[in-house]
Amino acid sequence: MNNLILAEWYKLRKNMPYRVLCLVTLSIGILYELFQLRSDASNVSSMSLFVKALGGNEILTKLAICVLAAFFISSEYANGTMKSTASIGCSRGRIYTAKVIVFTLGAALLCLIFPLTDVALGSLLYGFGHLAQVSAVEYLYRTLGFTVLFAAAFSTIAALIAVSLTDNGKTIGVSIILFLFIDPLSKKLGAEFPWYQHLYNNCVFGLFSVPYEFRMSSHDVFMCIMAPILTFVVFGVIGILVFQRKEIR
Amino acid sequence: MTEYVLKTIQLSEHYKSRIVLDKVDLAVPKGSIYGFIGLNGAGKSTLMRIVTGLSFPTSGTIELFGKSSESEIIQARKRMGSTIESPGLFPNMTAYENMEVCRLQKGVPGKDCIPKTLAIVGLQDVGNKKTRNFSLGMKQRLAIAMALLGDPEFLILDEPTNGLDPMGVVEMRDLLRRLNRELGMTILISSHILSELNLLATHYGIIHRGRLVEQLTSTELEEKCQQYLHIKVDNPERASVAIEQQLHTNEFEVLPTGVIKLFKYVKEPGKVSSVLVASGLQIEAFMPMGEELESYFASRIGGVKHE
Repeated sequence: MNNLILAEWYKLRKNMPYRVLCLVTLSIGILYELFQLRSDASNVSSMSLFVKALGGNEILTKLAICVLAAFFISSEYANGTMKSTASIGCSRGRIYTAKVIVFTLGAALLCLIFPLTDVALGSLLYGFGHLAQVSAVEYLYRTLGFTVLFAAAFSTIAALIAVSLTDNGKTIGVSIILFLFIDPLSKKLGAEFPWYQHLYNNCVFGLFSVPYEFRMSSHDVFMCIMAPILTFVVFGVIGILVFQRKEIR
Repeated sequence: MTEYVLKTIQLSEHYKSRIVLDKVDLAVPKGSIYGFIGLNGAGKSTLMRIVTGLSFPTSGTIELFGKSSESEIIQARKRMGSTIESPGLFPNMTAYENMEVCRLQKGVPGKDCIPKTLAIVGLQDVGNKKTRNFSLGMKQRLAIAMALLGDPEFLILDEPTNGLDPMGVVEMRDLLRRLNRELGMTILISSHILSELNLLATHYGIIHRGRLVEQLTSTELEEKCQQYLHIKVDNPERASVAIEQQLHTNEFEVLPTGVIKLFKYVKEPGKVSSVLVASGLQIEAFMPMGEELESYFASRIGGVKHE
């Protein structure tokens, strides 16, 4: 298993689209701070900009995971390297687990680049600042922690789509449609069906913005921990089952 | 008793209503170079894919290094190297980096094996060139180098000479022969260049429309692809008598066209022609001939009638 994880990590480090995604996210983070500098620098602090940036990070996180799933997982079918991996003498379950672990790790790191750039650059330009409603440091750790947790959950969903579709284009298309349109669609469906609204409110998609609120109830904290973990486990297991039965061409 | 590295027992694979493999009983003896022959779509790659764990059979079992349970077969695959269909490479990585991924996956200790293995396939000087810029032949060589990492005991190569230039084909043949003779590596190789297999294989398996038509050793094949003298004379009856009485052999046959196939004296054509001329026969055609693997293969799959 360690061998497989090491190999996947090596692949991720050498993955050109991953490097580009990291660079793009970093650039967006820097540009975001520089635009604030141009507009109004008198009334801002790193933390106030960080709070504003979290809304954008939600979309960025989802997009980055969709693109990475396509170029880190699906592309292995296209270039035939999945064949070498599958015939290496390890069970499909282990191969998939190693891949998802590294993919999740890569996605989590990617999702932290934008907020961390904001905080680091914002602190240099405007000072760290504080928040009236909650301790700034606590808020920072909490939101970053939950970002990682939700990124892990979204990663297993994207990984499942990637191994099922085995095609870069299809993976990007389907996962982006799912990740970006599930929220507006769910709001409409939720208005029609109360049971669906309840389901949506308690799944990772509905809960994603909850940790970004200044105040979280203990129920919210519980749900925001359990929902991503359960999603990770359930979609991870489904992914293993799908990959075990998949013909590799 | 012959030890087998790979055995398939009644192995079948169906895609919807199409039968791709039909109860195949293939046996690859340890230490052999097993040439797997078949037309495109005959089922060669499908069988290799099942052995390497890329596909699953509809029915039947495989035995790899004598192991037949699923978990044991997975473990046994660690003793195997393979390249199936097109070479699977990361296009944005160099040859060394592709090898490194493979080394890490196989858990081969130390990086020294990478330049050594690259040198074996003649890719020691490719430097930092990305594999997307490689020719098909270079990709093929790299795929073989990756299969060789970790010194496997059993090598499965699906059309490995595809895209290689003539010198590359010769080098590949020499390499495979060396691996087989010096390291005792068992090799299962499929190729549509039958003359190539003819120079390499110690065993053959002929597959047609999913059925294993025949398995034979190179010695058996040689016997079946017998050399003979092709003789055409003005009077085949008199010639037959002359051959029987003066050359003391009845190892010949007279075809309905009047052509005589003489299976003896292939290396003494002068002696035969002297006898025929001395018997007052007029020789119209006289040449040594022999059935090649191609024609034998064609006859086994029903392409050309085997006389």
